[in-house]
Amino acid sequence: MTGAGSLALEGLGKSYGEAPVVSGVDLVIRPGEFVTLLGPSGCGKTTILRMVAGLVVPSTGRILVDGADITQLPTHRRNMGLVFQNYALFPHMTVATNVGFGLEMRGVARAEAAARVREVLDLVRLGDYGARHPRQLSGGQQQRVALARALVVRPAVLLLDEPLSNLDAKLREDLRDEIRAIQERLHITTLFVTHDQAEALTMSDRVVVLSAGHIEQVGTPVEIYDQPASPFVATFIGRVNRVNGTVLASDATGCTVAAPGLRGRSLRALPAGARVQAMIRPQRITLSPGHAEGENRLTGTVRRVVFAGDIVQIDVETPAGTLTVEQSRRGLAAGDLVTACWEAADMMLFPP
Amino acid sequence: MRGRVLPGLLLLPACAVTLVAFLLPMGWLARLSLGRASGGVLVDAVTADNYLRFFTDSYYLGVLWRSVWVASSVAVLAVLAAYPIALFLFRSRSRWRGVLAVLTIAPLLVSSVVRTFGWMIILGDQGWINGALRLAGLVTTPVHLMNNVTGVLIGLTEIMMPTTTLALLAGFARLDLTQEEAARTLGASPWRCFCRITLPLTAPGIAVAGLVTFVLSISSFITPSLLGGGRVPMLASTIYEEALETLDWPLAAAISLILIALFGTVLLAYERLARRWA
Repeated sequence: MTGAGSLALEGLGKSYGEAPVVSGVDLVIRPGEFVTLLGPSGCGKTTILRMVAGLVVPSTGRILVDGADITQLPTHRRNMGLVFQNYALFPHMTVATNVGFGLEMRGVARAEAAARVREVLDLVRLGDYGARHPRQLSGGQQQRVALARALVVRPAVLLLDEPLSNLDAKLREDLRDEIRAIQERLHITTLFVTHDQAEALTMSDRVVVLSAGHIEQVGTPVEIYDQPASPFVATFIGRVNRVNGTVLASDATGCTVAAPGLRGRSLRALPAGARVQAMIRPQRITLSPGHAEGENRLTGTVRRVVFAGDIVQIDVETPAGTLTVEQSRRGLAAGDLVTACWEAADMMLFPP
Repeated sequence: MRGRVLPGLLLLPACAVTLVAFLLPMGWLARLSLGRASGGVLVDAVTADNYLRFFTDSYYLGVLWRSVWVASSVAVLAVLAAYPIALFLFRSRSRWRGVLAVLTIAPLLVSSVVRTFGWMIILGDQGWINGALRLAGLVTTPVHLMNNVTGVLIGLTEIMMPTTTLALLAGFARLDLTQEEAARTLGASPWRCFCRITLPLTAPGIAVAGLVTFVLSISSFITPSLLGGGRVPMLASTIYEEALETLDWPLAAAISLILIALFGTVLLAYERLARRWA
């Protein structure tokens, strides 16, 4: 049951009237790859998915599957498997009829269709539910039926439009892992849309970060987290502390940044004199009691300690602004004098 | 205690109105239908004669049969004509949707008497349609489009359409546009998507719209009278004639109750159907 096609988007754009919703999207997805479109609501990620499915007509650009241009092809001839946020199951049909719908439309012989429906229902662990109606299933089960319905036709590309958003937290994590496991097992090319960075980071081979209709960055989850290409990506993926500063000196291995109370070293080389935003993730900062001097060290006072179970979140007021630190070690209290320090590799620099 | 008494008290006025304005008159009507009139004067009697007369006289049976098939035809025609409009309004994301919806039901603002007169201007032997046909040289003698069943069907269908459209829209709740999109992505052509998804999911709307249109058509009075030109007697107009022209109030009461029984039957059938979708 494989349907690995390659998907290429070339200069894809969509405007309604004057306003572009999506513009200049170039993306190549390899056969069997799991790629996530990640961005805040209104960034155009769903519009891109719907253009691939043929439900929205692009204003510019082309869509290619295995090199063949499908931009003008109507939806029902595209061989895509689309899973919706609200499941979109057919309420007047049983689970088995729902799942077999795509096979029925393709004129697959009854016996073969029944066998394939059974096989895919087993795959999503709903083997015994074929005779039920969608309304008799829980949300998670309904979404697994929707997944089975999309998979059974062996689509060239599996399209997932925020499939987990209507489920509660625990179920969401389970289904997340399940979808990824099935996707790897079937080696099916997948385009996944979400606004949830945890889903994007945990499930994807590559993540496409979108903002206001254009691509901000494409990379593996580690790349977009560790080497964000823009302040937008840095702030959208995970949390960051921001410190405004100026580059003092620059050399082959990086540069030195000055900010109130701070002399920081970064591995990124920017010209001396440039004003920069330094960004440091809360988990990359370590706190030690007392005052300490040196590079990448900022002394300050603990203002607030928030206990959040696995981690403690500590706000430290420093001359360069308030830093938020997340660590698992407890013991600090408001009013304590502490020094925050971090590695040069963990200080990301961006133009202001 | 108060929590149970107060809702009961709030229901009292409605119950009282229903009792005085509906149940008592209905009882009185039932009693009247068992009476007898002689030369326009009520005679004290308890008899089933009026019902026997209705169900044995071919004239009245003809009226019943004509009423049922005219109302059924109007229900089918109005649903057929209103369905695309209702589906379009339901699907539309346009900012003109509200305006279009108002335009669709705007005819309800004009009395059906006026609208029926409008149809007489269009359908009459000297009307627009016959004028156009004559001008085009297609006919020499007028095509009779009114003072017959054809006129009643045309006029009644149009007059029912705004109501039919509203009833259809009310019954479309089960249809979700993403279901149609899901069907399309699974390989359903627009036509097959309509047959397998849209039509079954809008069936409750079709049923309720058909019911409402049938009930309103079979009891309509003005349009069948004017466009039928007195040659298409239906139940409502027969009740009117018996009550106010023949002055046979008991027979009029009996026919009224037969009409109500007919409503009950249709409603029961609809109930059965609706329970299957629930």
